[in-house]
Amino acid sequence: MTGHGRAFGAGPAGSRAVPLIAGRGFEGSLVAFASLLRHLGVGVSTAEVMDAVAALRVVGLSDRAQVKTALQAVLVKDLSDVPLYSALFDAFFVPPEERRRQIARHAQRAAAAREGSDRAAQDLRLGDRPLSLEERHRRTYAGLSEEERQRIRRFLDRAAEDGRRQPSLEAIVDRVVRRYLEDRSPLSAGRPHREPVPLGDESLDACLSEACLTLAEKEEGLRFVDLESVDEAQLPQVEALIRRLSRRLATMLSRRYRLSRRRPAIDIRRTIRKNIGTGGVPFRLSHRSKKVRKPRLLLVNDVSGSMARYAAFVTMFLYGLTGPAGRVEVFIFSEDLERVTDRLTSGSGFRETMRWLMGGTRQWGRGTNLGQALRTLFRDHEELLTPSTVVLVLSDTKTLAVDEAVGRLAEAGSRVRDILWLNPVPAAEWERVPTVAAFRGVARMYECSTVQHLERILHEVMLRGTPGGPLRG
Amino acid sequence: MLTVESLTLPALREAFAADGYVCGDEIIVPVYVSIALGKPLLVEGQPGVGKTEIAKVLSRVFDAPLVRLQCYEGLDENKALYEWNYQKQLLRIQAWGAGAGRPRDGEAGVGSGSSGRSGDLDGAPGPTAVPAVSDLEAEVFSEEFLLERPLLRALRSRRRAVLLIDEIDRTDDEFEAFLFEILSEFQVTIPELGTVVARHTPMVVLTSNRSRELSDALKRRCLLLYIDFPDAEKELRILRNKVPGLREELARQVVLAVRQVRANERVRKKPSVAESIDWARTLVALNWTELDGEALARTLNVILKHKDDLELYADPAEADALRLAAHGEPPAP
Repeated sequence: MTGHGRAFGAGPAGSRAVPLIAGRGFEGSLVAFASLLRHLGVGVSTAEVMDAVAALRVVGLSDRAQVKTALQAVLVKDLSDVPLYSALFDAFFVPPEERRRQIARHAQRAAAAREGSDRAAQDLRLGDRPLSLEERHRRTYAGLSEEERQRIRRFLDRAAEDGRRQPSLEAIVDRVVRRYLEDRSPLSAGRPHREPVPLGDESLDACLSEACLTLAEKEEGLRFVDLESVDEAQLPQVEALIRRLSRRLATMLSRRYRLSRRRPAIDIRRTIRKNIGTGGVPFRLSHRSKKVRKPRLLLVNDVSGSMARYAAFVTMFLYGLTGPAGRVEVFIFSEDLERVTDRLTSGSGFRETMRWLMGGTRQWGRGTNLGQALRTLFRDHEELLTPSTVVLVLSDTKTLAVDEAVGRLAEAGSRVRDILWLNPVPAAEWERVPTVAAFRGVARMYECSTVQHLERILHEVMLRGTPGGPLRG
Repeated sequence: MLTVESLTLPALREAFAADGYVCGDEIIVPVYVSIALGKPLLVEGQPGVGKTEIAKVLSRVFDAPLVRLQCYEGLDENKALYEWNYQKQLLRIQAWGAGAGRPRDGEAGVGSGSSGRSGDLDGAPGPTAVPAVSDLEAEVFSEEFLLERPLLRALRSRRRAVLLIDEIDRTDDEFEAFLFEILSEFQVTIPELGTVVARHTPMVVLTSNRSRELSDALKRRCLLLYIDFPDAEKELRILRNKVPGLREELARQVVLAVRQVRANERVRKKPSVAESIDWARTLVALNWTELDGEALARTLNVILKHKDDLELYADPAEADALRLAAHGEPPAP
């Protein structure tokens, strides 16, 4: 290690050289970098970090581009992670003065957020009494559009007047506002990106936040943007991105793809042909392999509140994947289930899909009842629940009749190949949502709020049959 | 000649350039790190961007034997690692039987099984045959009867070899698992012979077209290099290198036209670098000096391999846009 001290620690201090984090040294910096990558969902193993250290020993730190390329080769094993890696690298390996600026900018953003939250606390009152809300509700409120905030304030003003006559209303008002905000949480509109969960280290948090901001600004960063917050200007790009990704995945699928697992059934013809060299003595057996059938996908979309937007994006992706004659069934639910497969066509844009999903539906703007929806699914569409079906439930788990829903989902699970739950709520917040734990017992749950998440999950489902092991991201 | 022990990044860069492989640091650095760390290099990218070529160039610049394992569905250890030469073993056993003066039906029974009964069980071996049989067994399972397949050949090579495992995504999961054991230890155990340890760690290059997701375990053992389509300048250099007799102007037109086709969202199969080289060669062979409408119409099938794509460019408007793009002009409004 001492031999490298001169070459790497001090290195030529040119503008292309890579600065390390003060006080952490060569290896410490890399370990910190890897932990940030992990924090953002890129799976980096300890062995890979050791490889990264070894790689930098041979490449040196004098050329920034080389270091970036070398670390990428060692640490990033999934191409779709490259934009994220790149943004993080640029934000992480910066000179101390730039780091100080990062910290200052981060503090500014945090202060702005606090201010919003304080204002929310002032606004969200019933007369003189503050509503009983949590910090996340206030954050959500601060992120809403002015129009929506006004709507809530008007509601509160009216409720305050009524409340003077009828004090028992107070508790109901609390619940209504909380529910309203939860429906929008954490998917507040107008936020350009989702702030990463803080690590508690000022300098690393600043770096993370900076990287996520850069990423959101770039076109390729759209993969990582929360679909809820995609605005009008970004919409065409996101549509094109979804089309491109789903077509790419579809091309992979169209290749001849067979089950790799050996089957016990012996293929006599192949066995004899294979053993001609041994005079027909069956030394090596050939087994029949079965052609893998693409799974039939059954998408159950929650379209209550802010979920409808996600539903439209996920549906677009699936249709791009399977084509009009594909094996995909789409349902929407809010209070009850409706089949919308026949209304959809592939290649449609977001607005069309939205219209198709929601046009003529009775589910718009109603409460959420997954239990009832699944009951209807069993009653009317039981034939779709086959061993080749993969059920995708897209919902934030906020539903009435949780117990019934869990029970029915478990029952469905025994009849289909797999049940995947796509949850747009960030995984870090799942702990706080009690219904998440209930549903995780009966379905594999994946965070799915960005195009990146969606592509990964479908990639796994379609190319591996069922997702193997935990998905990253 | 390069050696692994004294390898430096500039030397590798220079060697690749001298060999005619046009690339930037985005390719050279991962290749260099993989050799320096003794780690396999997993190369991904569209077909025809030069993934396999990397292994060939390495073999040339290091003057190392290139051992190639072409993967396909159903590839197993027998085809990839080693196999016993059954026919030869059988002949030896028969020769031994004849030499020992054993009865003929006893011979036929050894191993062939065609008579439906085993000579070892049913036939009565002579009293002196027992020690000789164990000798024989040791003999027929000796190196003389071992058929080396690519993986073993790369491990046992006297000189450091370049092991190219091509299109790894075509194999089964089981084979992939079997492979990464070899790739991390660089040794393999043959039950009858013992453990074979690599004399020299081979330089391993794996290629994948991403038709299947490779396991995390395999990816973790490799360095990942993604090769994208080259930029216009690099592609021009590649054409100059690979197509003798290609006039500069025509080369430029080919590059611009190919880039236009690649950028066209409606094209299903994007032409690769290999295809643009083929196209340039075709144009040279047919003595075209300019990529005009007729040249395009007659030779476009070299880069367009899909019926829909050919039909797309049969449309005069698309064809004209392509011709204009080839001449560096903006498409007509």
